Amino acid sequence: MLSVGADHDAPSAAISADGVVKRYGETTAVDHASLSIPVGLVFGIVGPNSAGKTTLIECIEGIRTPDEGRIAVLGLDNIRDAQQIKQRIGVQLQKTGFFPDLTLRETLDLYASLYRRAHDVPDLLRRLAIDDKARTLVKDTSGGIFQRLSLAVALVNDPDLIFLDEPTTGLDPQARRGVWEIVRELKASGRTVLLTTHYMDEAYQLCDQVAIMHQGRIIAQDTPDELVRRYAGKSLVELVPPRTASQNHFRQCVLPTLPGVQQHWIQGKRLLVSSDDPPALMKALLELEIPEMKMREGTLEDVFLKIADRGPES
Amino acid sequence: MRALLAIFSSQARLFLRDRVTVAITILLPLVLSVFFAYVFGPGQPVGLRMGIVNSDTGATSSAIVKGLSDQASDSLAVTSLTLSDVEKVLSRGDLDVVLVIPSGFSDAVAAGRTTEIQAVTNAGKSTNARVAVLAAQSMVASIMAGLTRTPQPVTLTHVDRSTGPPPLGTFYVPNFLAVSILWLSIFATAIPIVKQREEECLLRISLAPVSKATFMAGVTLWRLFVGVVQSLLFLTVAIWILQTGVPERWPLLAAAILLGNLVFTVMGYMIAGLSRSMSSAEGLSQVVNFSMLFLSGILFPPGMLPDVVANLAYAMPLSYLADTFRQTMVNYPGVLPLEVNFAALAGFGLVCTAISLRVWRWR
Repeated sequence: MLSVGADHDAPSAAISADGVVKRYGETTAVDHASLSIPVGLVFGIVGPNSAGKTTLIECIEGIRTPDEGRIAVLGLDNIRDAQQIKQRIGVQLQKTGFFPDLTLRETLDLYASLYRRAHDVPDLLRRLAIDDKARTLVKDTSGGIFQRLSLAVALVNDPDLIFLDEPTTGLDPQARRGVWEIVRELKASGRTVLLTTHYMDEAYQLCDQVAIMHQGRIIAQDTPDELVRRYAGKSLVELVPPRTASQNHFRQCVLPTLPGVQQHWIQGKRLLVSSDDPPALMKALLELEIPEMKMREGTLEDVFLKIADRGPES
Repeated sequence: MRALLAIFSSQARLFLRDRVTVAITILLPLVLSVFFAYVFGPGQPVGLRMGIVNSDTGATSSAIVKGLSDQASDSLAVTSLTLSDVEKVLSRGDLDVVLVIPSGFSDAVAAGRTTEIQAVTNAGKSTNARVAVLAAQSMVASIMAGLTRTPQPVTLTHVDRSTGPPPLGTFYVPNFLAVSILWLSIFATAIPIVKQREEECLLRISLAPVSKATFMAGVTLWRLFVGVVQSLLFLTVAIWILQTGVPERWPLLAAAILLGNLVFTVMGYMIAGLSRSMSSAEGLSQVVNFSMLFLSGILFPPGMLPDVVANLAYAMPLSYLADTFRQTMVNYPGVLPLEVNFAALAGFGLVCTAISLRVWRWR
């Protein structure tokens, strides 16, 4: 296990953000975002590129100062109590840098020295499976090793709250699973994890709750299953529309007459139809001689793609 | 304290593993100083030519003339002449400086009134004019101190008269020690900090509970250490090659080394904070570097520069540091009293610190 136990004096909400606004000139990157993340949860923020995820996280981490709104981290004001908060949080940035001429071991030793509470560095290196690279200079490491070093630095102070901004980007599947395992261990030890990711399977696997951001706003926050049920439907029929009919005609005139149809939307070259009666819908589609179709469960990726494509009104 | 030492040791590793920075900031100034010292070394003294016009008939002025004449040697020629000859000999470049003692000088000294000796030069005809003035000031002050037994308001009271005017070689070793501290500020502080900022290393550090003051203190501590090591190297060169002997005023020299490193390290932070990118940092660094090199009297003795340009030296902290090093390291005649140099450096340090803290950025 990575941790020895969470701080039991922690408040019920690890993060509480209320009406956060961050503007860059004319652009509003975060638009009145509000969040409440209970202690001990793995919480994911997903959304298309430029949705404002990283800006919101950086406001919570204290890297950026919001133009409006209030943020409390571990029950502390994130501006007034910034130094106290820093002692208790771990941050893995999406894009970060370490001194290139230090070794991995020296880098971790440096960061461990900056905190009152710190992990045993050799143990952390072992846990992140980079102990064999301990004497390698940062500038000589591969992307995957660098990513793991970044995660190790985020964990070096044995934090109560960990921010992971796309923690598995650039990792091979095995390394990704390793990171997932660490996140699960953190959760098991009572830590709170806030992560962003572009991998919807990752969010689904790891997160107790997920918030979906779109154009700076949080448009939904719930468990992954509930989000799938609400936005994609538990059961989906994925099909290629018949060539004989135009796609618009098929969607507007034919689909609504079929049994069990709830919602439908385009995803790439395919049409997705959520259904409360998939067998009946499949049967009706077979009678229409649809050339290619399959039934499957809805996923968080369907939710993501739908929102990215159509926005929150979807 | 643990954080401070961690930053110190990480900075040490980063510095020592960057061979180019080590070469530029430590070895290059040392090599240049040895080169200049060799070219203008002890074997080639400046050979000052001094003239005296004594319009007074009193005992004090006679004692000054005698005191100066007694110091004549291969490297110092002292000539008596009349007031009407002054313009002629200076315009021909026959002399570097002529000291004119006015009528009534001795009486004024006896009465305790303010007295003045004019040091007349023609800088256009003598590149050593300013050096000659400094040397003359020092000699006269020394003679006056011997005569009146009271402290004189002179800038140099500790010049070793037995060696005569200092060889130009000794001018360069302390100067390049000052330059090495300047380069430490630019190439080992400002540029690396901007680079680390662009690579987001500083942003990552800022996420830890470390204030900018602690981070700067850790970096500065390492720069001070390098500065001290570097100064010891320069002192070795001065003692060994130039045979200057161990500096008598070593506590003042040590204080100047520490203060100089502090001021210039903070100036490095200021340059880094004012630069938005690496290219602007490099540009700003070059402006600072060349201004300091050419306007601080580092490369050329002050007498070689026109007055207008020479006056710009007062706006350069390097001028004060180099002048202090020259005085305390090799007993070179000072441009300003040491206390003025220290005060000026401290002033520059405070201004740079205020600006640095204001413009510092982690990302």
